[in-house]
Amino acid sequence: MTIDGLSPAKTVRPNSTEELAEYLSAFKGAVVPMGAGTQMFFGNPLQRADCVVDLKSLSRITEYVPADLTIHVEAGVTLAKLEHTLLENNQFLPLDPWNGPHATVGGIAAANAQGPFRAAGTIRDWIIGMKVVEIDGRVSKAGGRVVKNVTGYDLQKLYTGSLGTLAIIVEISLKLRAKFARTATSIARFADFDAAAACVATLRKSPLQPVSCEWVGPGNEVWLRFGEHPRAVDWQLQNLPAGADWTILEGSDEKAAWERLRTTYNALGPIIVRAAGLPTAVREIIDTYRPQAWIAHALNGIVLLQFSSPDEIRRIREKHRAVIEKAPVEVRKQIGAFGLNDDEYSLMKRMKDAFDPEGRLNPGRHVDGELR
Amino acid sequence: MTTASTEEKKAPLYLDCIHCGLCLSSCPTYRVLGSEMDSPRGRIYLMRAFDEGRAKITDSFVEHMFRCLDCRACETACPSGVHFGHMMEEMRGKIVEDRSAHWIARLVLNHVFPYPNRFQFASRLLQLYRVSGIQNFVRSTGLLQRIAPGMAAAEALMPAVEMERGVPLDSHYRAQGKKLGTVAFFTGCVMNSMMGSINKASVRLLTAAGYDVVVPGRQICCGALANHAGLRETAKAMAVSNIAAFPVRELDAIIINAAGCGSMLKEYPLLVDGASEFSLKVKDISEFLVATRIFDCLKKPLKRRVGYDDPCHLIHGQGVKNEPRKLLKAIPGIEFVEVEAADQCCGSAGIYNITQNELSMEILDRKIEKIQKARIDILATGNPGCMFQFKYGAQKAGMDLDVVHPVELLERSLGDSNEHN
Amino acid sequence: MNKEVIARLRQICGATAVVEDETELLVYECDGLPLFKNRPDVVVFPRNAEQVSQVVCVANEYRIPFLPRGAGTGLSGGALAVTGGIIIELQRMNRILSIDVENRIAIVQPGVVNLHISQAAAPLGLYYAPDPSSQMSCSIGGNVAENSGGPHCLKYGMTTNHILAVEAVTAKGEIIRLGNPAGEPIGMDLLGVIVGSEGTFAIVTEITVRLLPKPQAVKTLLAAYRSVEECSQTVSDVIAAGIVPAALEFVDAKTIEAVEASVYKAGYPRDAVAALLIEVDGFRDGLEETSAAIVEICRRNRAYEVRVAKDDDERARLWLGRKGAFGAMGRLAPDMITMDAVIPRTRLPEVLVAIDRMSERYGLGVANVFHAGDGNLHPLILFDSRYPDQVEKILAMSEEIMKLCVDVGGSLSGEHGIGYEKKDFMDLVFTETDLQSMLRVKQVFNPDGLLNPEKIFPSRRGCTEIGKHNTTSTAEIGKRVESVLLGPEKVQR
Repeated sequence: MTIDGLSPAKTVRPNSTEELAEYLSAFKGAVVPMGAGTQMFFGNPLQRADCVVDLKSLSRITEYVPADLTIHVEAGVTLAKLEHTLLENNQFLPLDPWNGPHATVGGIAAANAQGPFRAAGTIRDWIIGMKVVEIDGRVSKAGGRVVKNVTGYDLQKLYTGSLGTLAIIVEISLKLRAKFARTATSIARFADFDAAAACVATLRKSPLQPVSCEWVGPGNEVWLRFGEHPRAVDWQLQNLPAGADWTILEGSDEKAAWERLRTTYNALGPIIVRAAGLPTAVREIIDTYRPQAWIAHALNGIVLLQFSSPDEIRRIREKHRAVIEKAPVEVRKQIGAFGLNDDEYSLMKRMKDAFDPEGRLNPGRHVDGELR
Repeated sequence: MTTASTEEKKAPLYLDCIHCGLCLSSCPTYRVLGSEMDSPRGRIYLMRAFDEGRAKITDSFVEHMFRCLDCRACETACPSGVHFGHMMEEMRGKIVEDRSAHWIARLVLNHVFPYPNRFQFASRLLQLYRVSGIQNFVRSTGLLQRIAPGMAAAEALMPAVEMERGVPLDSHYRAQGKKLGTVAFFTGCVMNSMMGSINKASVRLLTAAGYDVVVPGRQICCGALANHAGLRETAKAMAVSNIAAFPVRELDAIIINAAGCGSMLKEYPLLVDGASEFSLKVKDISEFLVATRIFDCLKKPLKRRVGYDDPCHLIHGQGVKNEPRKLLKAIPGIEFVEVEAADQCCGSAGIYNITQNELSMEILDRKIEKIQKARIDILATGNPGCMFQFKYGAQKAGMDLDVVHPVELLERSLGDSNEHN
Repeated sequence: MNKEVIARLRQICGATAVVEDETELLVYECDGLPLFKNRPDVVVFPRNAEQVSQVVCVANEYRIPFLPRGAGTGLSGGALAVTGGIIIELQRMNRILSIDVENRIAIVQPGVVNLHISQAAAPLGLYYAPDPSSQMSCSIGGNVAENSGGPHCLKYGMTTNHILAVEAVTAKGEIIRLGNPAGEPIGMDLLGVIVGSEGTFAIVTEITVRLLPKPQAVKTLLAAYRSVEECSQTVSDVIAAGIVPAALEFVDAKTIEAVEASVYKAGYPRDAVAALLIEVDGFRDGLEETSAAIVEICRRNRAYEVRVAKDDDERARLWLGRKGAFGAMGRLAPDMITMDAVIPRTRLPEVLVAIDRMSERYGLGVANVFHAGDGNLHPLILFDSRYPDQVEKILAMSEEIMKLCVDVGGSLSGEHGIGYEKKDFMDLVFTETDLQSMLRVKQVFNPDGLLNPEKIFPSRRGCTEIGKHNTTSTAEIGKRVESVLLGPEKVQR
């Protein structure tokens, strides 16, 4: 396989944490941890790759105590398997990263991958503990196995979103919630940008609490998903912003619709930028930078923008935070993926150096490859 | 029975404090200064340290103890029920034993306040000072400000003493209509000399509610100021005098309309033995009236926006909060406005506004801000010191605000409904 | 303290903002945990980040340890100046800088009282969700340092889920900004690891917090039981039914007894062996049904009395019984220690039995208050610190409780933090490797270890060397008792 134009010489697929630890304690080359491989294009370009570590065999659910609302899984467990297991006990996690249900939990955590359930937080808010293997083969853990815990530093927060460049995630403990008693999605298409923007503005001030609020363009659709007690869902459906033609979807129709949105997302490209600002800035962001297409988590202030040129990235970064969600390696070789400020850059560099002084974990994919 | 034994018997009160710190944000001085030694918890800690020999009565020790307003908001906030007010008063007593109080304080509190005639005389002097034009002269030269800013502050706060005298000692008033009982009236020193009409209004309300009112002739100042200043022996002597002056057994209640005095009278048992019977009869006029037929007598409407401020010694010292509000809201036509932070100290705290003028003004400013936000015409509060403080603050802020005692509004409402205010 | 240093500090913060008087420093020798005391050398009251930064630079220059302090209500000794030095008191940085209603954020200084944020946001229909029991006095800066919780964090998450961005001064004196108002971690989640770092990474000088809309409706219930198992089963059933309570608090018989005998009389059934205080909130539509479902579950589990609050007053009274526990217990003895342990919620019955036995064995009164929703247990232990043998017992019992909690799959602290109190027990939960990784992260932020030393990590471990764990010996306890009795003792720097 090739990653960012590099072809690592070999792939290993450990069956357990101990195997992985043993391997790493002996191995001296550059390591690329991988789950389902759905996020390999995220981050800065890989600079060296001697061995791919395929974590898909670390696929056990080690402990699940529904009454405690916690589950402990190995990193290679897929989101689909996790969801299926939870559903049997009427529990779930509001996670639906764009990269889909075949992504591994470890991979989702390493990339802090997100999707339309953004209003309920990301996986970062559900992880209560983590076990990692460091570059020299040492196994360490942080957090715990209980939902409320302030024992020691929250290193699991650091590992989340660090793209496996500090350590390789091998086990994750998650807190859970009850499945929504009922969900429903309402979609409306607006005549123009201003009408959609007005609807979103109304939503910000309304008592509605959608678990997803997506503003999709250029079609100017607003998608709202509600998850709650059935009567609360009803109430919200009856109090949608006026002046729009809302289509209400439930059950398999609802599921199909969100799959369609996922397809829409996957069709975005070649460059997707994730801009982050205040919710009130969403309109301005879309209006100013004029992406060819967009999907905005409108109530979170996050906008995914499709561009064809990297110049737009620089323009946005003059005023807003913007991460490159997806871009061809040539683009990522010209411009840093994260857009870090000076404080962040220097601290993250020190962090990377502290964990991986020889720069052997996913070399170049994170701060160590960030162009400024 | 000697009074000294009352203090020795008790286990150290500071042991009640579990050092949780929940009192901090209720303390006005902590809110302004943000320093632990100006918080109730910090002060208790120092008291304990002194007792254990880890701290001495140094200048800074005294400073932090006397910066306390003794407002007792911390008592209301404390989950363990620590008796902070009592502890502070005892500590101040020990400090004054160690290093005497200021000579002016000693002169005034030991030799003027406990003697009604001397007090009357002093207040007449003050009246003369104001009415004769000397005050205007002194203020216009700004001389006092330059040579003695502390005295200037005191001077500025000086109340305008009314011409009207209060309720004469040894007088007796009959209930109107059906008589339900007999109460005694505690005139207070400041109230009777400087705000006499309030006392007259109080008596009128009590008789309207169906009670005979007696005004015992040998009562004197309650001793609160002396107690707060650490002059414990003086305070004890005054307590003993007052207890003897009231025919407790013949009374349904002993009525007081000044929060500071009421709190002191109710806590005489902490100072001297044999005070329980007396203290149990003491009632603030609002908590007494609220259980009477006075509501039927409130006839004349008052169409104004009225706010109420909780005197610390009423809400924290006596736990009386809803009664004054209930009475005011019963006045026909009134628009009662709940002022933000009404339960926070105004900074008057006896003579605190003189001895700790800067801090007192800082605390007052914050209160005035909240009162301005409420946009009221009248502020009612049941304590003379607070009334002076608010009058001063309103004037300084250029506000058009009447500051009254709740009984003044209630009294105005008595009578025929044909007449209007 | 070096006269030169005092002069420099005076120059930076102003003369009235530097405290070095012996008497005044006394009150800073401990925080909400008076069991451990040590006087700092000086306390400063900066008014802005610039001043904090300059103070930190002076501390670095003269190699003096320094640490931040909020309201000092912490229960793990987080604001204890173990090796003396400079306490940087943030209480004069206490302004709410702005509230953005549409974006539902507030920007505040670290000295703002937690409850004041909600009070300021209330007229705008918003509130700040994390509600530690000390919220009427504790500071938001302290909350960020400890990742504080509270009864409502079951549904709404802890402090870390509500912090979007901070400005902070690092241990070397640099002023940095992390996070962004969208709350989106960019690159590495440095903000996420600073929250809960107990003031050992940086001193936070400005915080952007998330505000939530006030719920449309709230329902509060009290259920009384004759057995702990039935109570515990109710909790499991409520969770299994898919209900997400806003709060789920358990109080035991001893707590009820103490509360009902005190001024916090809340009308809890006096003969109950255990009681559950349950709160649900959210949209009005459907809340009645949820509440009714809970009542049914309680009855099914043989709750002999279930009361649903009819109005705000009744609701406040029900909560008084829970919030008054702390104070009510405090009245029963000169000292009380509030322990903090966290276990999987399903293990509560056996843990309670074990603690009960410990209470008998040690001869110390214990009442238990438990955040049933998330397994956070607070044994409230009564004692008298004037008696050395009692202090020794407290420390021994504390260790036993922690070991027990770890044994059943829990951890050392649910919300109070490790601080100084629990640092020597970190190796019950973490291996050397685990601790080394944490130290490594600490060194990125605090390379010289001058910021808040002697916290979190076991005493036998310095910044650079890690030894093997030994069980805490009686000698260790004896040493600690000495420091408590003999007064402040300065440890060698």
